Amino acid sequence: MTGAVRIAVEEWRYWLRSRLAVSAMLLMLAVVLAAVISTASRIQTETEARRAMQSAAEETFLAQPDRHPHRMVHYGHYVFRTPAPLAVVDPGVDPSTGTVMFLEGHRQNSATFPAVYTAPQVAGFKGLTPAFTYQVLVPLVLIVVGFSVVSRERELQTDIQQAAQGLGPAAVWFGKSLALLSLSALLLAPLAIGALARIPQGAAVAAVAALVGGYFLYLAFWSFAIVGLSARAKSSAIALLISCIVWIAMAVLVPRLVSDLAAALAPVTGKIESDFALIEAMRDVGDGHNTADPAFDQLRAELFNEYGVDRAEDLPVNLRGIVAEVAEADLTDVLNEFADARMAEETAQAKLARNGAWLSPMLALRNASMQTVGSDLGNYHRFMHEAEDARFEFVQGLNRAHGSELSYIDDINRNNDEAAGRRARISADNWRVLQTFDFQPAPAAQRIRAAGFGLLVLLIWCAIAAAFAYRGTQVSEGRFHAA
Amino acid sequence: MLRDIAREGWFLRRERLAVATIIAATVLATITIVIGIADVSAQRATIAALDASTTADLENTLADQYDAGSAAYYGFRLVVDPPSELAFAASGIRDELPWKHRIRSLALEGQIYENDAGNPELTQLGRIDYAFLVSVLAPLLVILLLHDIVDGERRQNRYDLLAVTAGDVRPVIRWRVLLRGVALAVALLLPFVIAAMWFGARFAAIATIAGATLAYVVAWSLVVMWVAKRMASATTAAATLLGGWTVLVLVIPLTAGAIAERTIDVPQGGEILLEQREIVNRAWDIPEEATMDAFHATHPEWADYKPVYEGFNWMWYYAFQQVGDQSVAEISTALRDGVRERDAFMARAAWLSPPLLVDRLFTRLAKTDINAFQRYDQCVRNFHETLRKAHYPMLYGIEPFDVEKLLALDKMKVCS
Amino acid sequence: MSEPLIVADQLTVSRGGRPVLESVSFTVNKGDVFALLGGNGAGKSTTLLTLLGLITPSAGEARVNGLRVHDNPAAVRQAVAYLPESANLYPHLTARENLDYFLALARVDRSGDEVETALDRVALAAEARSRRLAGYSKGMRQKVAIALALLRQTPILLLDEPTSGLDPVAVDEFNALISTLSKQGTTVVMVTHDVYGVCHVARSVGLLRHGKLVAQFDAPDGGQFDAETLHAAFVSRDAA
Repeated sequence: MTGAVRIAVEEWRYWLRSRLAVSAMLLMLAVVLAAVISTASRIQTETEARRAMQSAAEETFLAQPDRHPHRMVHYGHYVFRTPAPLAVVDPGVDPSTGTVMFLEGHRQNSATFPAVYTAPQVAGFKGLTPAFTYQVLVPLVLIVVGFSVVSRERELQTDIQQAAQGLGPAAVWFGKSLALLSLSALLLAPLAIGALARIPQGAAVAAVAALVGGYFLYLAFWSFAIVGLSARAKSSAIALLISCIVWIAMAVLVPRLVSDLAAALAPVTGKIESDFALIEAMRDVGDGHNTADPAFDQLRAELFNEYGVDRAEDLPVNLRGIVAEVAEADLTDVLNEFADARMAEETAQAKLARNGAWLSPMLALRNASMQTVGSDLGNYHRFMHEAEDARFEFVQGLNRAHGSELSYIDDINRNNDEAAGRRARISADNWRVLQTFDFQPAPAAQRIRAAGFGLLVLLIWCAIAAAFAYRGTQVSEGRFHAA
Repeated sequence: MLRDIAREGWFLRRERLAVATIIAATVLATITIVIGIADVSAQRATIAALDASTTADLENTLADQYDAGSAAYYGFRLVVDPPSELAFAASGIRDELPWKHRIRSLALEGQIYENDAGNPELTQLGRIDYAFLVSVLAPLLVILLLHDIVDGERRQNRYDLLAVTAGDVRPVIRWRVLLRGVALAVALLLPFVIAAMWFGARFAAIATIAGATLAYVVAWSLVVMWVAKRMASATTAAATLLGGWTVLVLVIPLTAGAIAERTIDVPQGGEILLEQREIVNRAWDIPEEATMDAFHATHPEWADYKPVYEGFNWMWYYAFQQVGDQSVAEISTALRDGVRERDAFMARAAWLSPPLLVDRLFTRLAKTDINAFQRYDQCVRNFHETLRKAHYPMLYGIEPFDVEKLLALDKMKVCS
Repeated sequence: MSEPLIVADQLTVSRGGRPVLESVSFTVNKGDVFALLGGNGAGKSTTLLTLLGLITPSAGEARVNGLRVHDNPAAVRQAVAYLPESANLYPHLTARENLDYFLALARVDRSGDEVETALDRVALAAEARSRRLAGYSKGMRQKVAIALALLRQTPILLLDEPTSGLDPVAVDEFNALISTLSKQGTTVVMVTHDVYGVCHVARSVGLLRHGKLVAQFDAPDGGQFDAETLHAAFVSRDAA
């Protein structure tokens, strides 16, 4: 144990005396800091802007004067998607998904204005977020600093001296890994601080712990893999070469190939395409603006029966409002069926891609990271569901007011003249059916559970790499026993 | 010279790492091209299917309408930006920004921001296309092939022997570098050129991309040789080059992007939507004349006409839709100007980052860059104008409602 | 009489401000075998590399085959075959492939038979000739390098520690080979710290110490050096 610590300390001394290692560490620390600070400030600005527009939208809705309730159904409402508190670490799908959705009667609109809509076109890689930096760049620095941890000693034959002093391969394995693990921990500090700083903003402590733990596991995978490759490679030059090839494959190539493959294997029907099928399905749903639509014959008969009347004018409720409410419910069922089908397709595609975790630990971490933060597809769907609930709730609230607050006679005569139009209004108090909308990702426990798969796969990768490194140091030692 | 080529060609074929790298380049190039072709074919198939559905839907819908107002209300048309003949090589911003729209004569600002994009979790992972292979991965392949060419000979104690045997070692090294560079360039280019010719891309565009790929590989080769010469060992050189690669490929483009976003403000899209809704809805609360006056201010050719209607005043309805668009025209233009300005900033920043420069060149030629998107966006706006203006004479009642005439308009407008 | 084939004239080489060679002068006539003897860091290899134009002297000059080395390095090297210390030819190539490649570099054509003859002369086992050098012992690799030097058929051979890594039998064979070549008119310069080895082949011996040529001995006519005398000179402290 003390021997291993001694080896780690010696490794650090070597690094600190190597201009290459020091400049690589400093460069990366600067990049990591820049990523953490700039993403935090961007997410903060975005969150504030979206919150401000959300309350502006709510105020405007509530400030509308007395009106015909159905006007308000079409006046509609806007909901804004605020990023999850931990999105400062991993914005996930946030930049590619719509930020604002228009809610109105009879329609489900899609969310528009994703950040990419106005984002500058950068080549190759998407954005300098902490998630990206840690998933892609930090492993590269670990490689550049650590590729020769074992091979260098063998080339200088200092490994024989170590062995002569009674340091077995286990001590070398642990000591060299410890050196890289401590470097990983050091590089991880900005991310950990960035995540901890979000606890006052509502980030759950457990989620922060899971997130930082996940990233550490990932860097531990690389630390072990680098030690293992350095021990196994014939020379430092080959160790560097192979580590870089592994890095290109795991961090750059496989993720993209997985994305393309999932898109090809589990295609998702485009919205415009599926809308045509939706139009077909909607033909069977009655037009809620038209009480004479045969689709509502039964409803009308039941109402007449219930209240013992034989014309709409005699009903104690407004038939037009009742029809609007029933029609909205029927129509929403159809809309939801299509929306759910589409989301199910997207989820299946994403799930397929998530199996890429078995091909690259980077994908394992990426999934776990987005899921822990709540910036994954699932939480975007959660937003869509919440937005739809909000839509349905306020539209039906207005429809209920339409049925109870406005007389049928006034309603059908609303276009006769200006005075009639004024009589066909209800009080603005009714607009209070609108609930405040504040999107929050799923509770931390649920997010962490979702991230379980990714974290588990990551743990397996890490264990394999540790075993590989352990074997490697033994093989490396075996070389001079054989010589 | 032929003897040199024969000798070093023979030698190269026996270098396992070099051969493996070149095979990997060929395989990667082929994969990116195959993925690109599959993607473009899927887009074309989608467009063909949408074309058929749109036509059928429009014919059905218009057949049921009795007035121009309803025809305009229910008559959706398709606008598409089909993938260019080079889109397979550089997918650019096409998987994130819309290239297809269903459009009707209602306020356009409520429709044009609809985005029928793919799965965000996949988009976020990025794609692997030819542009990515060349701009991002090719430098790594060059580093892999060339960083050890001289130092390897020194480490193995062969450098002096080579020098004495050949008389002068520099031409030998030069031939090795050249042959590896050429082999890599050919490996990258061949699948691309074949696919580009199959798609019928313009010769000039193919030549530009091929020339840029070649120049890029040459430039990186020179940089690698220059750095390798100045470093104590090949591993130091490789590590330094990796650092340089990171700065050029990642740090500069992403920092430039962050600076562009920070320094060049664009209006929040949500503001456009909120404002436009207010104007459209206010029309119901103000006198019809006020709306018509605002409409006539931008459409003076209709100022002398009064809508002739029974039941519902559709012309007023479409006038306030148009007034809604007019009310946000300024902010909507500011948004597009801002995006253009950000792009201009990136164009300048690209001079600091050759990978960014290459990507911009490829996406420009493949018409998958911001410029192409903005041209498409403008084309959608123009088509919307054509569409609503085609309805106005019928809505004013000076032309009879004529389904045939409406069907004669583009059902699917191709913007490219 | 024409100029000696190899002339080192007041050769001085500094590295990092420190002299590695100081005013080293010697000449080697056609057909002679000249050995530079010295300990580690004495400047033996530096002298060879300077004769090859691979190191530029800060003062003095080297002339080989009548040409000033630093004005005509390529022409000089055409006349010289060089055997580096622990020559690593390409490990991924076979012996024959290595020879083919290096001969092509030297722009000389040798038939397959000539190549086989050269490999016979260095006594490389026939079964090993089409195996990759990666699996060779150090001595086998050295033999291939010597075969290359033979095949170049140059008038001058420069050898850096040629017998290191060879077993005693191979050393004897090598010495015989050098003697034969010398009799055929090949001029040989070799550097070594093997005092006993040089006795058998060298016609004259220069003793290098700390970059200076401290002594030069010639073999008795028709005879060989006395190894003990040389050894005494080599290890003596006062020669500097």
